[in-house]
Amino acid sequence: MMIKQLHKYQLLAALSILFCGLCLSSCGEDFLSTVPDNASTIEEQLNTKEDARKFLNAAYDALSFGNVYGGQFALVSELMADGIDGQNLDGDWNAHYTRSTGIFVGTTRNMMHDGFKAVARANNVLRRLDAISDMSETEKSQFEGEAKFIRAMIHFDLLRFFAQPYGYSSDNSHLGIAIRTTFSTDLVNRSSVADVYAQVISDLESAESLLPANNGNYADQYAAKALLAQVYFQMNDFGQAFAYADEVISNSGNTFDDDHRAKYGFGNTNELIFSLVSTDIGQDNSNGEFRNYFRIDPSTNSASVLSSESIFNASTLDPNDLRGLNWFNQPGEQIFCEKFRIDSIYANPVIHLTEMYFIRAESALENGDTESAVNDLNMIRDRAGLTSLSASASSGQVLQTIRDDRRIELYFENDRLHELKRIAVHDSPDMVIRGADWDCPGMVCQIPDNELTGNPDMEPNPEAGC
Amino acid sequence: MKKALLLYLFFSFSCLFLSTDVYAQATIKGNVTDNNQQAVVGVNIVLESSGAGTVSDVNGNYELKNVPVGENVISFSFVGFKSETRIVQVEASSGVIQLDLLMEEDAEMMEEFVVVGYGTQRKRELVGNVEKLVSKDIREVNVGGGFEAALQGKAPGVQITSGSGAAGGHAVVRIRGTSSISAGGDPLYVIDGIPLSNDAFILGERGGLNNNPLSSINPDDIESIDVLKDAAAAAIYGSRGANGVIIITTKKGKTGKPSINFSTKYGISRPTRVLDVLNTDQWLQIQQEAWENSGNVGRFELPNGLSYEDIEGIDTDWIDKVIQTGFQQEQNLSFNGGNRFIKAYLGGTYSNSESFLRGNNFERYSGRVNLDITPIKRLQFSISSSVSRGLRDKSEQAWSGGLGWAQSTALPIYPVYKNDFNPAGSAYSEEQEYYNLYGNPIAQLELTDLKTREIRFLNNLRLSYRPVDRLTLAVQGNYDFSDIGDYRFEDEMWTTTTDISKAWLFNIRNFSSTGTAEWQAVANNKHKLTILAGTEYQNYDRETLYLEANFLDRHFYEYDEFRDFIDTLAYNGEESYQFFSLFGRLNYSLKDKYFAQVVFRRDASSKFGSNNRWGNFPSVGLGYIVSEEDFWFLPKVNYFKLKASFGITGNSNIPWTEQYATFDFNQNPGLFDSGLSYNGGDTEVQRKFSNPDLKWEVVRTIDVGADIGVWQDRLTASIAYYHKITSDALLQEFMSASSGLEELQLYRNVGRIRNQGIEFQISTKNISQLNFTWSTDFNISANRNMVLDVGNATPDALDGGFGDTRVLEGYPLGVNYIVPFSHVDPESGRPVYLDRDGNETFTYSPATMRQVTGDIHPDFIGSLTNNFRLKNFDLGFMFYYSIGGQIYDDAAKRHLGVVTPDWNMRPEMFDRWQQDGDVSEYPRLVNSMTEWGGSGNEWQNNHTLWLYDASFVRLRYVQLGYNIPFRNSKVFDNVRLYGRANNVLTFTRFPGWDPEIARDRVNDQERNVGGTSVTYLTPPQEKSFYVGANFRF
Repeated sequence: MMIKQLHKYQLLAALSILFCGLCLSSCGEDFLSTVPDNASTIEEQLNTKEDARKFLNAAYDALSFGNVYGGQFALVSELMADGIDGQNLDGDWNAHYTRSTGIFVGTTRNMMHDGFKAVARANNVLRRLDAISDMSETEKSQFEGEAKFIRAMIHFDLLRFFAQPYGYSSDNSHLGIAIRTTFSTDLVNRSSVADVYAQVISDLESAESLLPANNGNYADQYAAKALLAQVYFQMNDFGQAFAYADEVISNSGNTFDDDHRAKYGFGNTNELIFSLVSTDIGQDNSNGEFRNYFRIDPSTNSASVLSSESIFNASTLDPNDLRGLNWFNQPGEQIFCEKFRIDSIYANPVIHLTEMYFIRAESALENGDTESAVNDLNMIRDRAGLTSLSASASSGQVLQTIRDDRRIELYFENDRLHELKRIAVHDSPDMVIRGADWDCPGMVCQIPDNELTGNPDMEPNPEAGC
Repeated sequence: MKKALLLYLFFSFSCLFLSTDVYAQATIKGNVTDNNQQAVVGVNIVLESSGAGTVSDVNGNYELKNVPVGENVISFSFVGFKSETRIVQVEASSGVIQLDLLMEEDAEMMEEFVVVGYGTQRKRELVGNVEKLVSKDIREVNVGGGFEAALQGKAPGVQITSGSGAAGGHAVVRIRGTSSISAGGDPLYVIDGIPLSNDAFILGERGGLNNNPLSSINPDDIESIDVLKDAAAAAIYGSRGANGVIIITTKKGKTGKPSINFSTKYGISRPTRVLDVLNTDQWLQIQQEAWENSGNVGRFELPNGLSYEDIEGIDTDWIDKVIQTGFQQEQNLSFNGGNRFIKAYLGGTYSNSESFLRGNNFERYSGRVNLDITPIKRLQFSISSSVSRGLRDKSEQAWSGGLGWAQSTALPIYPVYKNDFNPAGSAYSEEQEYYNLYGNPIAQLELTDLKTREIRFLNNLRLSYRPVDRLTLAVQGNYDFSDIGDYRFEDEMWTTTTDISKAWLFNIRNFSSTGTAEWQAVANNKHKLTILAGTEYQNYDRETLYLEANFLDRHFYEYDEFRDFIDTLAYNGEESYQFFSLFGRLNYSLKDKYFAQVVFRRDASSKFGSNNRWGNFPSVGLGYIVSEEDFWFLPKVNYFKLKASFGITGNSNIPWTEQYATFDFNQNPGLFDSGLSYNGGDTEVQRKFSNPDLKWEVVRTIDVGADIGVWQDRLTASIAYYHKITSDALLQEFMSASSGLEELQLYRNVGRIRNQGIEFQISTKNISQLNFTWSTDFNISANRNMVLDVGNATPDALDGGFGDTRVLEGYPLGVNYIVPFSHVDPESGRPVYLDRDGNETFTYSPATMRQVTGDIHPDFIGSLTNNFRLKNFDLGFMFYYSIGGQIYDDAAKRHLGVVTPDWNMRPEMFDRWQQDGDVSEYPRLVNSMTEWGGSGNEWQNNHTLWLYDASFVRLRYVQLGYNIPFRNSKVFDNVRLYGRANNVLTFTRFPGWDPEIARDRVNDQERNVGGTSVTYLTPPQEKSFYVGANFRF
């Protein structure tokens, strides 16, 4: 009845509006598909050599992040060991200093996440490598080698922070970290330390064979060999450590600087086996965090990171020790490290020749070749303005001197904590590091919440402090 | 109009003489129209002498038969219009008398109409749950603030947490609980048909503050606010209706004598409470004790190498230095007038409100033009246009500085300047240099400058045409434009390098258009049918530009030519999305007592994944006025209505890029360097994977309710129960850090959440005399929230930001997931915690001991309002209450926890353990939590010692007004004077600043999960006192 009252044209008008609407709805998808500029697919984005270089550059860039080799690794390895004055520390740094990191620590979250960003970025290149059309097999090999080098490097270092060291258990079945060899959201549980080392070595051996002898600012085969030397040395496998360190020293083409500080400055070094590049373009600096740690706040005349008296005393014990100049210290003032304050822009020296000499020296000594050990050590000591060690020094004396000099020379270079643990495993089971047993639970960083949260089966480390 | 009536009467009268026919009775017929020349349907026309009556039909025509000879009084009444009576002299010869009538809308009665989205409905016909506020409830609530504040306590089920005391701060609005975890929980705001852009996080949490986009709307321009709470009401907004809809209608011009309104307000602002912190003596005492307890000897070593000689005589009250008495004012001028062709509302306002925080000020100019033009009958143009400019001077808050620093890192032993130190000490300097730059709030105030400038245009043009009486066709185009600039300038003394100017610029263009057709039919005066069909398209675009320069000595915004630098300095961003919708609504009423409504909306959006482009949102509702039945047996109950509805609404507050795999590109060299280039070359990174299944959240709501009126509405009450289930709830699922994905959190539709609750309100007119009235309004609502499913998410996967609130299956959305603190061990002074089995332990291990210890939701919220009127005086006051729930004071672990030399603490700290046998609130003072078995990171000291009862009752306002009686004044129609005090009294057990907390947040999930129940140095609400006057000429 009501419809009857409705005139035809009224009905038409109403229907036409609805019709327009329906029309729009059927063809509406077009004006609904605003796609963000940065939305795409990997198939569209990673097709050429140029693309692959961009994606791989991003992996190197992740290595240089302030939470990775750009600062945090170096800082934490000193905080948890014996090189820092903890008086003014608070927050996360104090948690490291007091060997009591919980699951909510920003530094460990960032180390884990940013570190694995480098791995994921490398893995993303690896998964697309076969599909790239304009690359020769040699070039593909080179890219594969670089990606595997980056992947191995991060796995090795994160393992050293988040798990007890190699040799903590006899078969190294204790928990390590997740092994990530694909770019995915898959849940991956922690592997044993033995398995992570196996993966690291396999990636590095593969990289060593794939990479060219010289690869500009990117990782080359000597970078892989040098890292293998570090890995085997950490495992106390002195045969392999010696062999790799020796090969790097002999064949890499790098030469020993005259000035021990040259490698922390811009351009005057030939020691860098693998470094993270800094350019003066924008914020492309691989050492930004180092400058923050040691910047002096003029309103209070203090830097954020202060060095411990023990490291200061060790390096100023001999008044001729040029490495004593590495410290800012005025009477009554606080002590902090100056060696990273030479230039504002310089390449971050992640692996350098001095370290290879230390590895070769100590490995030679362990292998019974005291003479080589003393020769290598004296190169470093001479440069530091110190008297040479006599060739007749006892092996115990040589060992101690190598380790003492290493502590000073590689201060704040992501070495000390790992080195102390290696020594403890090797020959000092009762070692106490600044008041804490080397193998107490707090001596490893707790797995942070961002690694635990997404995976209900992920196991945290024991939490009982030290 | 009177002329016309006289003419009609004259005509009728002349008929008398001209007529030659003789009837014993006459028929009166005519047509009833409103100011817009539109027919008024359903007008009751009653012959007073006999009570006989009729109702106007859809064309506004009526016919009253059998009118007896003689003088007859005929009354016309219709809800929303002023009642009219006419005296008609009927002669035996009258025959048919024509009596047309123009009825005037009655603004007072407009309350009986509610705005329901794309139309209005009589409240009587409503099947959904809608609350209405009108102008007088809105315009006097604050000085220079936002309109949201007016809603607090006025609408049951609507939880408004006013913004902190920062000027123009954002309020948190939740309608019937929180039904989302990761997606936005704010309601949709629609102003004059424009779906507003409303992003509280557009400026992030920069400076410890969130933005309030709603502050650009002048409360004085608002005619009414309608809050659509349930699905029956909100389903017409489809995929954006799930959090409720707040519809704002601005004032429209009215016919009749033009009026000019001027209103003015002046007031002051203070904090509701000032927290006590330690002075120098107290601070040194606490530090010394902790120093010794931690095994040190001698005097506590002062921070920054200061000596005791240096700080002699220094006792800085930092809080006092950063708070002030804020001065506020607001001026409004408006014009209202019109005739049958054009009606206009013009309004202009200026307000300037300082908060009690030094350096914080909000200034707003706004103007509005609303025109309704009726060039020819049946056609109407409406233009509604407003522009506002808000300028906010900001001082950083909470973690970012200002009052936050004043109570934390600014120690009482620190002076503002180095030359305030004891001249005999070594820290003394002749120079007027700031001491401890990055913890010194005065240095921050004086060396940095933060401003936000927001210009907003809201425009719409509506054309409605009625080809015939029952059909209305309307098209409306809306343009909501915002130009927001957030500026920051840092002096070289602050940066210690160069001056730095930064600007974050936003350009938001939010365009929408709507076409509707509404058809009405009435048959036999029993059936009334209204059908609405429509379509809507919305396109939202936002451009973002970030600029930074170190060669300017001022703000970017003081440079007109700054865009010249864009090429080298800019960093670009964008946001863009579209919605396309079809909708329809069918309302049927039978005998004006049975009501049914069916709503259907179909939405497509570019935000949804390609596998889920379209969503359907239906609702159905029924209403029944039982008291209209013949069998109604309670004569004193004049009105009793039952309502029930079911519907599906959606929530599409999801970031626009979420369905896509996204990439970061860095062209180097090129635009502003994001720090992602390497080796001088470009980089590219895949941020995340795509999710083509991404879709809106689905909320199914059942609502039942009843409205009652007793003793001719001397008492009115309503009760409602609702049950809402959110399915496909969006969760930011957490990937493992070792996945190495740039974004560890990805949106997935996996959760399920239930909200159910009861709302009750009652209003009584206790005394209703000519010279004295007293009325009381009371409301209470209880929402119960439960997370039913979160997929595989572990407790830490869905967090509410700082303060350890989490989402766990089987618990309310947002629980305090922390270690329970038991007591202080009287023997050792160590804190004793409880493990998950309830055993007491000294161990503190969050990884294994955390459990649910409270939740963020109040059990009951509501208000009690009393209004008195004695002759021309009126007095009103409202108590607002929120009972139940917990507050986590995230700063208390520093204010009352481990003693470190970089924070100030609170005097409650003196209730600490000192010797064997002491029973104390706080443990033995120590310098590191490691001494208590915890972490060396004092920030991880989260446990229930800092968890407080969130209940509070607040005297929200007291207002006293006086309407000056102007009889026959040539100048004024009306003058009203009033004084008001807001937040006068607060009753709470919470010992911190303020139990009503709207802290800074970084995203929607933090707001949903952390709610308004975590505080971290958050400034308190303001207590304000002001006087105002309204003049009508």
